[in-house]
Amino acid sequence: MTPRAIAAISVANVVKRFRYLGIAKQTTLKELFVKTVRGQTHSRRTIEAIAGVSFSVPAGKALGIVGRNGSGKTTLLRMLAGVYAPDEGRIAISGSLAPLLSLAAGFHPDLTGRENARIELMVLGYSPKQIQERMDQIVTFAEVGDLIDAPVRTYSSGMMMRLAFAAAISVDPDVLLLDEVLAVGDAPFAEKCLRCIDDFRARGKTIVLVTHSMEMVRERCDLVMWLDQGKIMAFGEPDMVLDAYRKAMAATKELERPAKRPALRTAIVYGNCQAEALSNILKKDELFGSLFRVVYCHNYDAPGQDRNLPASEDLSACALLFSQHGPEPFAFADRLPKECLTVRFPSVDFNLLWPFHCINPYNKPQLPELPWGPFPYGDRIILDCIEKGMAPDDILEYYLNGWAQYKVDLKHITRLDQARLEARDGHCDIEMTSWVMERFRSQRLFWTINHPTQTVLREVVQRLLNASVSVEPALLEVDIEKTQGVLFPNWEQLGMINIPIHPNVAEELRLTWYDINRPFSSCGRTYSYEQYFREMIDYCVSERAAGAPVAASA
Amino acid sequence: MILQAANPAAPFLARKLYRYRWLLYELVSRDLKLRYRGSVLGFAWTLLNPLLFMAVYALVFGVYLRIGVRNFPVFLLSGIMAWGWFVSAMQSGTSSIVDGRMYVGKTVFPAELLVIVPVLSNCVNFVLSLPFLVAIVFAYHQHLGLPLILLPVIMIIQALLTVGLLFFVATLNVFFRDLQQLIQYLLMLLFFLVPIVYSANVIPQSARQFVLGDPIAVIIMAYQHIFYYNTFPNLAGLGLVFVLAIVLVITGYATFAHYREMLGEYL
Repeated sequence: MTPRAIAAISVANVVKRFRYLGIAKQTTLKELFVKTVRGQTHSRRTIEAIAGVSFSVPAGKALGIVGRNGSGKTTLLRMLAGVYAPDEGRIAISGSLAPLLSLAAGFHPDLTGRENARIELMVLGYSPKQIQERMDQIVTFAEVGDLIDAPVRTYSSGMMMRLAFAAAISVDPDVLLLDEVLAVGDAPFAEKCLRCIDDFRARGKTIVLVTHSMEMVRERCDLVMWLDQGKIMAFGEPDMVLDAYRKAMAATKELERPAKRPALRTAIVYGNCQAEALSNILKKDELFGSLFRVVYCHNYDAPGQDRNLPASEDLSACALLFSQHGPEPFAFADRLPKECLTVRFPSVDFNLLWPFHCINPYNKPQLPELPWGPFPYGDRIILDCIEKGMAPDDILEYYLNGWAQYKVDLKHITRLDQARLEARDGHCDIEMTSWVMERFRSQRLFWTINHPTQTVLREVVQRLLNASVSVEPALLEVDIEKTQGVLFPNWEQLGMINIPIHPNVAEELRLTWYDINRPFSSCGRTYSYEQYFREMIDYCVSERAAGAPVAASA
Repeated sequence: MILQAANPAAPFLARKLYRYRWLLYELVSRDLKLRYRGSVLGFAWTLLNPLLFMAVYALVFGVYLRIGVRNFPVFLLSGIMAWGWFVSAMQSGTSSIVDGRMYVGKTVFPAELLVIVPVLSNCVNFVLSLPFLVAIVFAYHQHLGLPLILLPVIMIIQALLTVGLLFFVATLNVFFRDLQQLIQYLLMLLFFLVPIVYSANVIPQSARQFVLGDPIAVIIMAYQHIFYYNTFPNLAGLGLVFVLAIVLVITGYATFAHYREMLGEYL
């Protein structure tokens, strides 16, 4: 007999029904009584979430499941994981299994990351001893640092995902189930996960993943299943299945669009994550939402996302384009209607908060083991001190107390930063610089050099609205404050980093809210001001010792 | 591993408990740790609780109301400690599935464990406060003898009965959160219906059959037999309660298993 590929997963004629209960969520006894009297408690209506599905996945293959929302993807994955039992049919899985089903589910908010990981592994059947052996690996992989012993309610969604992924991967399962989990998290970590998945496949393990990302399916799957209304529409080679899926989706879109969507004008918001936050504020506003359909269109390739192209009917119905000034202008400007108003707005940031911002002088491709990632920020003084051969302790001392004599003219740098912002304003239809300069003294407006707080974003929205009144007079009545306090996706990530500001800079800017003693957290760790720079200096010194060429720092 | 239609049978539950023994151990010890987290006396509360309970009830029922039971503190404590186990398990058990909502429905976490944990952690508490009970028995110059060998049996029956009840109550509580409030009053009523602060002799003949037929009363009185009367409890009654407990566990687990997949939608 030839050694044939053994099926890691085999599913035969599986049916899953869900029964509609006549009892609504959170019924009180009074309502129940009324319903019982009226005979409404029992409903025989069922829905077939999975309607007779059979397939098998050979060991060592990666299966991607695609389909519209509500097509049964998640139900099927939960059945593979054993969360739901099939009503009919049979599912057989050979080997050990690790499911990564949904973010946050399975994490107790009051328990620490470590305790949650322990429980996660115990659910998979591991003993305390086996878990102890894996715990270091989990902590390292998850990159949550000391926060591993903090309650997970203090975690960002990205950190939770990292922890969940790290726990699942640590048991080295034969079969890994992933449900749309790589959609959150930062780019370096998403890459790390992808590398991990590739490595997994290379070692002959089996993967099933549910995703909306066609890229992911095309690049990482050997097989694709297209599921619709609980039935398999196509199963096989990625190119073939995805092609059929895409065609079918395009066809239904054309059928559904005119009926579903009234002739609402489109407002396109184009730009980076700040623009996305702006679009979210606009979406949450009822009046604006009744006048325009808000479409966000990003100017960068976000990890785990398909390149988002505006639909052609969104372009043809576009009455407002809020376009962020940047190196890549909005690519579809020529397809907008003539009467569409374009309002250009600046991205708001503040370089001075990290006074000696420079590019990575070491220009190394690999990621250093640093909490703040691949050298996003530099510091010319530190680099210069290293070049002069100063010891790390001296550099720290010098950095904290001595650099006034280094002829750093903070006044000059402040003027430069202001000029930079004003130059940017000059390319735009609304300007933000003077507003930021005036208010930054009295309130914190930035989390990092390029992540503004809600206050700034709201001001930008207000100015965009004011500039668009010619298109729609009713925009004067939009009260943006009504959306205050609404939390948006990505908000947490925007607020996650908390950069340290040098006391001299704070003094120069006369920041009344500034407190050097306040510890701040960055990338999952809590630092004092000194600790942060200490690590930064040590890193630079070790890089220098490794013989990396240092670019001349201007 | 082969997955087929859900198996609600109790032997399946037993297999599951064995499979997840480490998780069960972890959850029980966490439950115990969390209980006294942040309190100064910490674990000493396990012993202090029955002591204070006894002091309060001995004052009210032994001194003011004069129940007229000899060595009243011994009598009271031999019943009320087991009652404490039952009532705490019922209280935290009722909301156990609702409180564990992050685990239910969306992950492979075995939700039945959530229901069993409060019974076991309160059992540990009960066992740890037993030396105190023994000390009180001797302090009043009473004796303990052969009936003590039945203690583990009674405890197993009580645990099974509580688990069986909780499978019903905790499942139902997901759909009707009123139950969480209601159960407090039902337990309070039950407390006075069971001869804990009074002896069974004072119940009028006409009501005696009714009160003593209560399975909780049978169990509580069995403890009193061991620790207070130093005699063997009513074995026939205990046997019936055992059968009832088994039936409750089987039907309760079947009910829970029937609704298991719906629970997630209601949490």
